[in-house]
Amino acid sequence: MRGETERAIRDQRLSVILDALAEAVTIRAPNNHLVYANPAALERLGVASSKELREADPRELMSSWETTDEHGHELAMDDLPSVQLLRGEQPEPLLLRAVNRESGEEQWSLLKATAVRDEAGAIEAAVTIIEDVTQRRRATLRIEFLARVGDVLASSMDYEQTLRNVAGLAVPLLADWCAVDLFTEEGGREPVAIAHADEDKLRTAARLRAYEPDRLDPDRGLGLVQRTGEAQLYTEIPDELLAAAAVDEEHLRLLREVGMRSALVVPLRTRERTIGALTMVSSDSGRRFDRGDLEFAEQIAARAALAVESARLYSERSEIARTLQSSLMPDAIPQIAGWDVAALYRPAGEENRVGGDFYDFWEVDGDWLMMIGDVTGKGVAAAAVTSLVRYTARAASEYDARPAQVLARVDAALRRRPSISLCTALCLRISPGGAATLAVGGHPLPIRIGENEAAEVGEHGTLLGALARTRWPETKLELRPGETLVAFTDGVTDTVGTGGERWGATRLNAALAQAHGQTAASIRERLVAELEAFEVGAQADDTAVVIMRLAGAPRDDREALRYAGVGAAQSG
Amino acid sequence: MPRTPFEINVVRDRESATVTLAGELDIATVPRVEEAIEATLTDELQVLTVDLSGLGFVDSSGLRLFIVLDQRAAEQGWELRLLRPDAQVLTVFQVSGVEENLPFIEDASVT
Repeated sequence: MRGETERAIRDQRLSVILDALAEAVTIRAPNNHLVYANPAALERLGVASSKELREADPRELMSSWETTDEHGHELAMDDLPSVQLLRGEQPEPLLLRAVNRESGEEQWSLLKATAVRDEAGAIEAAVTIIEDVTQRRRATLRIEFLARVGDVLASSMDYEQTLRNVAGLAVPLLADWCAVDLFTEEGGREPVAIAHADEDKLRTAARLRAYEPDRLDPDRGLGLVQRTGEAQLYTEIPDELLAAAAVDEEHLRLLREVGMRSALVVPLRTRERTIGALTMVSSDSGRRFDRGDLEFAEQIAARAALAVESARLYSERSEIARTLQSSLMPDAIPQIAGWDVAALYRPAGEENRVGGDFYDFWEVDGDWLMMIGDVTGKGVAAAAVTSLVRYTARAASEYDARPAQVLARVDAALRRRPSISLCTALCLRISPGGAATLAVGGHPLPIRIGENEAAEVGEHGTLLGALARTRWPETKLELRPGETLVAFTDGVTDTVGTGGERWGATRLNAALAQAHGQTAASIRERLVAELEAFEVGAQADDTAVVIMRLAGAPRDDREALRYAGVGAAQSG
Repeated sequence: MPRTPFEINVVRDRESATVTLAGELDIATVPRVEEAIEATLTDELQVLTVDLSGLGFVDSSGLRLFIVLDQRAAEQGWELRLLRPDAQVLTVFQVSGVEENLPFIEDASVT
C-alpha cells in the first residue's frame, strides 16, 4: 500500500517535470499502448488528451502518418525504438520522416528510447524522447541538394540537358513532380523537362499536355508567373480548383489521377526578363509546400536561370563559371552595427582560370560571422564547391556558431564529396562592441591594424577537405575603436610583378602599417592602387580582401573636426 | 615577362622514380608537374620520391597536388616519399597542417 502511494507521488513529480519539457516525450507500456505523452508529444501526435491517447489503438494512431526512414523505406510500428526495446532488443536512435496523411505536414524526428525497469530488472515501460529535427534535416538536405545542382550545372553545356538533370534531382527528394518550362516570345511555353518518381505518371503527364492551351492564361499558374515574374505557392489544391481548371470530364479525370496536393511555380529570371518557370508538385507523398519550400525552389531556379542565360549568351563554360561565381558573392556588404566594412574581389585575369575565392557575412545571435576562403580548383566545379562551403557554413552556425566548429563542419562536408575538394578558409565572429573570435583553416592569417603597427593575428589550423589529422585553434581578440582587421586570400600576397617577384607579406604589412583610423573603403582603395602599380600581366589567381574597422575611433572625431576647419591644433 | 624558370627532372628505373622540382610551384606550373608524374605511374612503380628541396615557392594548388598524390598512392598501393623543401617553403606545408599529414622523409637515400 505504502509502495503504491510512493509510486503515485513519484509518478506525479515525474509528470510535472515531463509536462514542462519542450521536447516531446512518450511512455509506452509492454502491451505496446502509449500510456503517457507530455503536451509537446500530444501536439506532435495530433492527439487531444492523454485519455484519448491511452484509449487509442497504437497502430491506428500511427496509421494517420506516412512514416519512412531517411532513405524513404516505409516504417511500421515494430520498427519504432520503443517497441523494439519492449521486445528486448537494443535499439539505435531512429531518424523518422512522418507525413500527416490528412494535413500533408512533414515532420522529421529523432527517436531515442530508454527502458524503465522494476526492481527485478524487468521492463516496465519504454520512454521515448522525440526530438524535432525537421528544420535541421531540411537545411542539410537543401545544402546537399544545392551542391548537386552546382555539379549538374557544371556537367553539361547543353542547357536543356542541364534543366532535365535539375528536374531529375528534385524528384523525389523535394517533390513528386518537377517540370521546367521556358517561355516563348509569342506568349506560349516550351516544355523542357519533366520528372516524376513514377514512370507511369509521366504518361499521364504527356496526355495532360494535349489539354494545355497554346497561349498561357495570364491570370493562372505559369501564365501568371510569366506576366508578373512572381513565384506562386498553392499550399493546398482543393478538388474545386481542379474542377474549375478542367475543360472536360476526361481532363478532370486526368487532373485527379495526377493527385496534385500542393504545388509551387517559381520564375527562372535573368536580369532582363522571366525566361521560364520551375514547377514542383506534391501528390503521392502527401507533402504540403510552405514558404520555406518556395524560397528554396527560388534558389534552385536562380541557378538554373543563370545556366540558361550563360549558355544562350556565351556558350562557354568559363562564362558560366564567372556568372555562377559572381552569384556566389554577397550582393553588397551588409550594414554591421559598430563596424565599417569594405571588401574587394578581383577574379583572375585569364579566361577559364576562374578560381574559387569567396567571402560571406551573416548574422548570428546579434553577432556577425564573416568567412573568407579559397577553393582550390578552377571553373564551374570550383564554383559548385564554393556554394557547398558557403551554405554549409551558414547552416552549421545555426547549431554552433563558434568559428572552429563552423570550419570543422565545412571540413566534414567537403570530405563527403566523391572527389578531393580542398578549401582554405578563415572564419571570424565579431560583436558590435569589438570582441572577435577567429579560426583559420589553411588560410593566411588576418592582419590587425593597431595605432602603431600592422601585424598578423591568430593561429594557423588545418586546410579543409582532405586531411586526417586536423586542428582549428580559436583566438579571442578585443579590438579597440579605430582598429581594423584585414582578411585576404593568397592571391593578394602571391600577385606577380616584374621579374616574377611576388608582392608578399612584407609589402602588404607596409601598405597597412599607416592605415590606423582610416575608413575601410580608403584602405581598400590604397590596396587596389598598390596592387595595380605592382602587378605585371594577367594574374593566375583570384584576389579577395575583407576589411573590417571597429567604428567610433577617437581619431575619427579629430578628422571630422579637421574637416570642419577647427581641429588643426589637435593633430599632435 | 621574365619568370624564374621552372624545372622538372625525372630519374627512374623499373620500380622507383624520383621527380626533382626546382622553381615556383603554382597554378601555372602544377599542370606540368602533374603531367611529368603521370608518366612515371606505371604498374611496376613501387616508390615515387618527389624532391621539393629546390622549390622557391608553393601555393595552394601545389599543396593540392601532393594531397591528391598521397591519396592515389594509398588507393593504388605504391609509396609516396616527399623530400622536404627549404624552411621558407616548408612553412606553407606546416601552417596548413599538410606537413603532418603527408609522408615527408629526411633524405632520399632512406629506403
